[in-house]
Amino acid sequence: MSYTLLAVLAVPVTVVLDLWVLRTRLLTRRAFWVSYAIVLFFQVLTNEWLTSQVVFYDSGAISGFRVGHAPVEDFLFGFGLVVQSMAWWVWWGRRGVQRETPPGPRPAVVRLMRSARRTHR
Amino acid sequence: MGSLTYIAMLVFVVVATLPLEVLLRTRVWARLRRLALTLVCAATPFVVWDVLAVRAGHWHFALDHTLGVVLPGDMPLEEWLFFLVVPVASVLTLEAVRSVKRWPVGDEEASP
Repeated sequence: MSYTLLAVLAVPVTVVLDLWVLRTRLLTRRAFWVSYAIVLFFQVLTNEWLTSQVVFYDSGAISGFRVGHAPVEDFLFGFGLVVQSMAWWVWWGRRGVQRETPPGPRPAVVRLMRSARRTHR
Repeated sequence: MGSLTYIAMLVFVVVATLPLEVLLRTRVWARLRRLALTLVCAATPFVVWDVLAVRAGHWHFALDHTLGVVLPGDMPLEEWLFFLVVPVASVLTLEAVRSVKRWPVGDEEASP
């Protein structure tokens, strides 16, 4: 099987895992899509770095469509890895494994934003 | 950057996301048990994919752009670390967005 076929298959497998197997339903949540947009931005940068110098592909295994040096298949692979990472994290949290944020110092940025918001009112 | 090319990118990702632990209180690294379980479940299928793809010749690594440590699966050390760094960065980003926007992600106490 080519990388193209496997990468295309990875998307529905990931969707089924999130929506119906783990029932984490991240793909229906705004928090996920905003996070994914941020991750995708950095993926474009870091993957360009790798595919231009470190990782090389067999032209017979890929479609040939690229974003910069990166084959489009990499973005499907990345979608799968990112969604599944977040989904398992939520799933384990839902099962009660370290669900709560452990105590620690107040988050500096959040505190700053709140006080900024307060002064605006 | 020669042999540091790949490891530099991983270090960049870790260094760029680590401040979120303190600034936005994501506390992902602090929840090691949950993180470890997540990594085992999420990364394993992709590591298997990677190893099989290298074996099938779908892609290969320029070892002169790595530290030169080759681990099982004929993969450079950095490629294994990739499957640690990327899931952690993904989860950190999700927790950072939740921290700022207060949007639910699905593991809240009363979530459906």
